[in-house]
Amino acid sequence: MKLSVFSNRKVRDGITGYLFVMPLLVYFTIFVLIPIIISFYYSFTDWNMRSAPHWTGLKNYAELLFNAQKQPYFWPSLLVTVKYIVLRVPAGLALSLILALFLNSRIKGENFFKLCYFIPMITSAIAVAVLWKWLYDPIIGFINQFLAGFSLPPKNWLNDTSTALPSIAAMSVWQGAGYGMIIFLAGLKGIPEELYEAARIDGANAWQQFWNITLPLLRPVTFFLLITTIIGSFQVFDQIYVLTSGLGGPEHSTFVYILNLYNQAFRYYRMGLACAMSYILFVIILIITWVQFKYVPQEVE
Amino acid sequence: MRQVLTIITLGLLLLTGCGSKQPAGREITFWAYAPGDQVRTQQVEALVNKYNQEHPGIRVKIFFVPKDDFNTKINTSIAVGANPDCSYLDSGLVSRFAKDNILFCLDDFVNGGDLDLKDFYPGAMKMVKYDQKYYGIPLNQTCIALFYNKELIKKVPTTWDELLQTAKEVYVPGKVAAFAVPKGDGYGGWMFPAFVASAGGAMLNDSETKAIFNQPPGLAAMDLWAQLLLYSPRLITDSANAFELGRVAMVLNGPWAIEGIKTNFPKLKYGIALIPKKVQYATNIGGESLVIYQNAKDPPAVWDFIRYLMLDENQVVMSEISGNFPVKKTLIDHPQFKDDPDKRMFMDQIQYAVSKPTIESWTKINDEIIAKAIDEALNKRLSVAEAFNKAAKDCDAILAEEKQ
Repeated sequence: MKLSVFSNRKVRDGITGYLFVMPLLVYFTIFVLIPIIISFYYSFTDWNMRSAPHWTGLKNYAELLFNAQKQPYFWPSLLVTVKYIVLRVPAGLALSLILALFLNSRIKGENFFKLCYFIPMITSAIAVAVLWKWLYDPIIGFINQFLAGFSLPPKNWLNDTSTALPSIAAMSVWQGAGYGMIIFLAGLKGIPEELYEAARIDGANAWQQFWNITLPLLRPVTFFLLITTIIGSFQVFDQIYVLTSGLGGPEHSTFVYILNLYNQAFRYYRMGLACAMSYILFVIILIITWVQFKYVPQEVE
Repeated sequence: MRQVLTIITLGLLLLTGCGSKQPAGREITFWAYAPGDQVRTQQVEALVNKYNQEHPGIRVKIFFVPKDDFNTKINTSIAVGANPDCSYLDSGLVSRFAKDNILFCLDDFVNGGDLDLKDFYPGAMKMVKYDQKYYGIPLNQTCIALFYNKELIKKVPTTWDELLQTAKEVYVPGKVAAFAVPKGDGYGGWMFPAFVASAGGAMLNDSETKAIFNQPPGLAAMDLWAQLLLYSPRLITDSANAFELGRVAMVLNGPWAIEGIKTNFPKLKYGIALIPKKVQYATNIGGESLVIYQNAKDPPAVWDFIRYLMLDENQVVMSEISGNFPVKKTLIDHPQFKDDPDKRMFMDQIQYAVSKPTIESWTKINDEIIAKAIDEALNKRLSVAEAFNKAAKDCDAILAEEKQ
């Protein structure tokens, strides 16, 4: 007997479609969706992964938000993360844009430079961090040797509270620049040449063209990069883990939110509390992204 | 279309089929830290294979897990009930795992006279006890000692006064730092109790209900670090391989550092000495133990395997592959350790080991409270007494809650 449902073309196409997306759907459900739901439940429990979780209601959230004696680093680590974002995001977008403009100016070997700037992006954060650890070394590091060439005093880049976080942010800016550059470059190539021609006929100089045509037309791209870079920066972890041996030093000046979360989960075995931390971060990111959607211009009139 | 569905169904069958193969005979699953290299891995495998050959009914199946991931993986496996029968476990974690009721109590085996406890270092044995019962058998142990540069240090300091005097003499501004003073972080917090014990004190009282590190011994230990820092600029000590390149005269480190120095810096003339003392010698202790899990299918069989690993010759292999030391006092005269001055010195130092508190939240107190106080005192944000009194108060609050 022929199954009638399979002979119906519409149903058959539907099934084929679902089969095509099934691998991703299965992956998404098992490794993303279910953990998200379960971790929401765990965030209301006391759980060390070894014994059965027991329900404690809002206790984890209350401890994190209001008990500075038991959670001395919750708010400080959030503040460090915000500082990192302020250092990392604007500089990152600016550098990406500069590189994109440079590559868009019809220079020779565009693809070669594209590759060069993009390589750090596809290199693992760990390898990049190890490399920069050497650059920042107070005695044998390239940066201090370079400064010495101008008779400038050496700095203990990664171990001084005033320079540690900016040093790490600088490394991230360098690593992420290639990615932003590619996105900006795609945006730049999409701007119609006629607009520049018209502007030139009207007597606009290069700066006016950039300010009145390039920048406004890049808004959708800039907005996308802003959102994704901020979210990524909230979740910064591996670079800092490597550069500070997982300690967030000196004096916790690079102790970012996720490093704190990692310690709670895998050093102190407070998995329930760590889940609560991830949900608090989720809400913070949600609010900040919503604010950006509402107040940051995305389109050109 | 139906063909596609059939293929998928068959594929799924194959997948599930693979998982349901039953092993022959009794099988013991055993998780160990992955040794650093191929040679050592083969040494462990050889030990296990030998056991399997001698015991036809039993098959020990060993899994190597990288040390850095080990605790995470073992916790996860316990959470889903897929843990091994037997595994390595950081000795500091044994009491916490025991508290959660997931370890098999070894008292019956231990008291059955299978192992002579007199042979074992008491410091190591203390760590594997919970509620007066044994839940693990120490497999190896480690501690920190003083590494010094023989070309910079002519007379090795043995007391705190001599240490400070030596530090003053050896310090060359901009060139040579005296001593790599630990920092206020988890690692520094881990080494600090050795100095408190040396001054005759402890971090917590005996019942672990109250912080006493703010008493004179603790303050004296902190003072020593702060004074040493005057002759040990971070700009030098934070540089990579500062000790190995002769830029730092003295540093605290463990036996795990020896091999790296010998391989990568063969020209360095270094020595190892006991950590200078105030009233007594002291060091901290770490290491791994062997534990049996409560859901193990055949605990006596697992115990037999553990006993096999504790035999003198096997103990030497098992501690060697970890870069640590045997837990049996009787092995101190074994040629492997006796004829090697470095190892010999660590065997000496480990006699003065003080174990760290066994309470659940100790790591957290170490990282978040003690480390912070060390930072505040070292960087002169607060006076030593202020920083430590504040820390003791925070620590007491957490202890009070945990004891409830």
